[in-house]
Amino acid sequence: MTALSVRGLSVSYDGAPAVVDADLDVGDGRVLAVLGPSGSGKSTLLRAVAGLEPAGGRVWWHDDDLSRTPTHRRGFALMFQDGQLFPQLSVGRNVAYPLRLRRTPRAAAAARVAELLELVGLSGFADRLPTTLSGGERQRVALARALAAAPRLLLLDEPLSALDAGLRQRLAEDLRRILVESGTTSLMVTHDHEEAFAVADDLAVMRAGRIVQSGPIAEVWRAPADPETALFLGYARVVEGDAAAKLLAAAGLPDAPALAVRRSALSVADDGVVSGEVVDVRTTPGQLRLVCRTDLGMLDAVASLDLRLAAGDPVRLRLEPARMAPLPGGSGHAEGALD
Amino acid sequence: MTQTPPMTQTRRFATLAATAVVPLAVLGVFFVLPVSGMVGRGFVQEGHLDIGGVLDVLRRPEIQRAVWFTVWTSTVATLVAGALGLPAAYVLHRLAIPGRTWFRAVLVIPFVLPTVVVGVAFELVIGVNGPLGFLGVDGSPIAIVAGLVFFNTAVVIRIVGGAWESLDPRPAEAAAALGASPRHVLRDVTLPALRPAIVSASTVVFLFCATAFGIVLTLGGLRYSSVETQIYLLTTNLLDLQAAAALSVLQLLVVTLLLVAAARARRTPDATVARSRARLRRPGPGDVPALLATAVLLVLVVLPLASLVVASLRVDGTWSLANYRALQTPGSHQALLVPASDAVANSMRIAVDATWMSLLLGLAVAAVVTRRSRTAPERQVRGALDGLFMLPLGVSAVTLGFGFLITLGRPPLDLRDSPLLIPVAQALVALPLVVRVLVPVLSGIDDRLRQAAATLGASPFRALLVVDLPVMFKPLLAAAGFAFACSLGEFGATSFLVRDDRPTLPVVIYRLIGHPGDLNYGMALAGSVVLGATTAAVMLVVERLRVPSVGSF
Repeated sequence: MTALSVRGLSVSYDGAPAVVDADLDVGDGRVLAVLGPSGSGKSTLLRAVAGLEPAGGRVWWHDDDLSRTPTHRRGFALMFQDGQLFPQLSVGRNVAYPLRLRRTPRAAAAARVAELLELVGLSGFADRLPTTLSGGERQRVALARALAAAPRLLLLDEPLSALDAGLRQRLAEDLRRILVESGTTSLMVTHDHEEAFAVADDLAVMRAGRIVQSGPIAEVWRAPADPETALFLGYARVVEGDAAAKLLAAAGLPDAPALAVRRSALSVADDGVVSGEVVDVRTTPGQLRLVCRTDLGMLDAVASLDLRLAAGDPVRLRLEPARMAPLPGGSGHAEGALD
Repeated sequence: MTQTPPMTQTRRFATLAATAVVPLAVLGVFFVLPVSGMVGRGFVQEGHLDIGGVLDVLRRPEIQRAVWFTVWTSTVATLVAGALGLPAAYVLHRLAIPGRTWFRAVLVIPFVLPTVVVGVAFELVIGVNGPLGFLGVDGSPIAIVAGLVFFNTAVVIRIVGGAWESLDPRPAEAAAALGASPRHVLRDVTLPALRPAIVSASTVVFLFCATAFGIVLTLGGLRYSSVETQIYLLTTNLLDLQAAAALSVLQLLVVTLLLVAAARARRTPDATVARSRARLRRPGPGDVPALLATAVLLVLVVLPLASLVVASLRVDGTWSLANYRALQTPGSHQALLVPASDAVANSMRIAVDATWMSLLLGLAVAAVVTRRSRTAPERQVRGALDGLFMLPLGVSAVTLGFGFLITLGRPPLDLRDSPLLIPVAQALVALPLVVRVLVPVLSGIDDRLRQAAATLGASPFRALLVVDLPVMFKPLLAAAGFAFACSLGEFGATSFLVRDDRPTLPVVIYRLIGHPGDLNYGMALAGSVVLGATTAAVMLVVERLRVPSVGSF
């Protein structure tokens, strides 16, 4: 059942539109990620849902219209990119802050704080000051504090972006676990598709202030709405026209004007149906990343590390239809298009 | 690589000393020498040090009364100025109100208004026939407190408003998103974040209140006396230098302590507080109390000024410019030796001289203080210099003026007839204000910009031209205007040094009030309007320059 619905939400700064006519739905207990490049208006959208930006349009929670409700009465907690812990309060008092606002009895509050700190893996940190914590620990405290508000909706503004890569991955898994365990309905914005895939159930793609596509994550992933969306979702290249038709035919897929291809959709194999020549090789820990000139144009491919390929080598490439996505129309300006 | 070679370090100290030597010499000759001369007079009795005698002074009942009066009026005035200034700081620096810059300018005018002008204006409002005459506070301590509040609310608005403006809005938003109501956000997030600014503002306001001279003298007369007016009384009327010195030293100690406290609050290092300018918010229903408080404050500020202008234009119950025409005369009953218009010209000349002096000194001090220190001792030296040049802010202008008279008025340094004596004294009074405008701007310039210019081949002078000058141009203009306005209205030190045949306008106004006759009083009103309008006009221009550090201490 739909918990949060946003209809026709618009925000502009001094006449310049930041969010245009956005519609969103988040189901009860589900996590929706709004994915968009920086400057796409996704953070503004989140802030407008929280009631921190004056916005046009409607924000509903079940049957309540919250469009005119001030932030502190919406029951939505917002977790900032950099946590925004209160520097003068200890970790424990930061987490207890929403409980104190609700006049929770001292003993109950202490128990809840301990429980939340354990949930985020920070038992025993209650007396530390935020300045003594690492970035990852701070985000965990911020999460615990947001959950302490028992929000009906948790808003997460790029919760992991300020962290380094390894930590980000680990924390993304923890975040997913915590949100699922606590059954918290959440709306997250991020520019990192890996992060979105790791945490969310549903995905909305935002570009230039507009929501261009939304739906369950697997569906959006399988059928991006347009070439730009495909590239933003992590597809390596979009091929169009003749080349797209030939690739689709070779992969046994129905015809389409354009085709988004992941790097791993083509792999070097002796029985491959596409033949070409290696132009560029890059070694990564798991595989070789190739750029090949084929009779279908330039294409990305992967190969096993022990193949020891070099530029100029002839190769045959096998297709993996599940790693390709037919697109409804070529926009002509997708940056990965055929040379 | 990290070890600075001793040669370079010596050279750095040499450069530091070279930049600091001129302002230090000026401060030494024109501040330390007069003040210590004045204080020394009191401590040395009949050729030997008499500390016991000085301490005895502090036991005298009238001295203790003056100390107590100073403490309680300053405390009450600081609290009231804070209560009036905080809402106005919020409204004028955080809300999108039409005419916001004008209101800000109007509210900052009192701070530079000459004390005698304010004294005259207050008499008009709370006097028996004034619009607030029914309150019956004329001649009471309440009038003095009101005068102090009138001057210093601007300080609270400037300091706290500046901090509020650059306050990161996100912690407040985080609290709101956790369910904190606006009242809770104010209590739990905003006020703690503003605490350094509030402490700093309170300290400075208390300092100004405790050393106020002209306003206490004009509104309190001889019935109520603060430490500052008591020093004046003891030196000029009673010639009791020992007692005056004792009070001066006491004042100097307290002032130094307050300045150290203010500097501490200002420098509270908090790396986690990110500075970003929040967008102004449209006022909502929750802002009504703050808006009302600001409106009341505006009325309280405008009322005395408007009364002054109206009264200056009324002669014998009709509208007339006669009072202004009379400024070309020396008044009746031999009030003045020269026409008041001469004093206007004289004031302008002195103010111009004082302005360039305080600007040059202020620039040198700001440059010394803001250069990045490489070593801990260097940083301490620079910090100490910063504090040292703030001292004139709080030292009794009376002590300074009288010290000038007794140390610089005889060989080896006889400057009594030098036309630069008064400008020097006024420049010293304005110096801390100039330094406080320039230092935040200079220290805000990223040193890496200069380094970038250097790596692109710019000489240090060229880098100064490209990096510093464009940023410093407007603050320099603003500081000049600020210094000019302060110098124009300076009364305490000037009243000691001025010669009757070459008076300044504030001194003329004070003298006209003291002489009987409607013409003299009318001239005092007209002179006050001229003086007030000039300083106000200068401050309006300064305000249009939008230099945020103007009026932050």
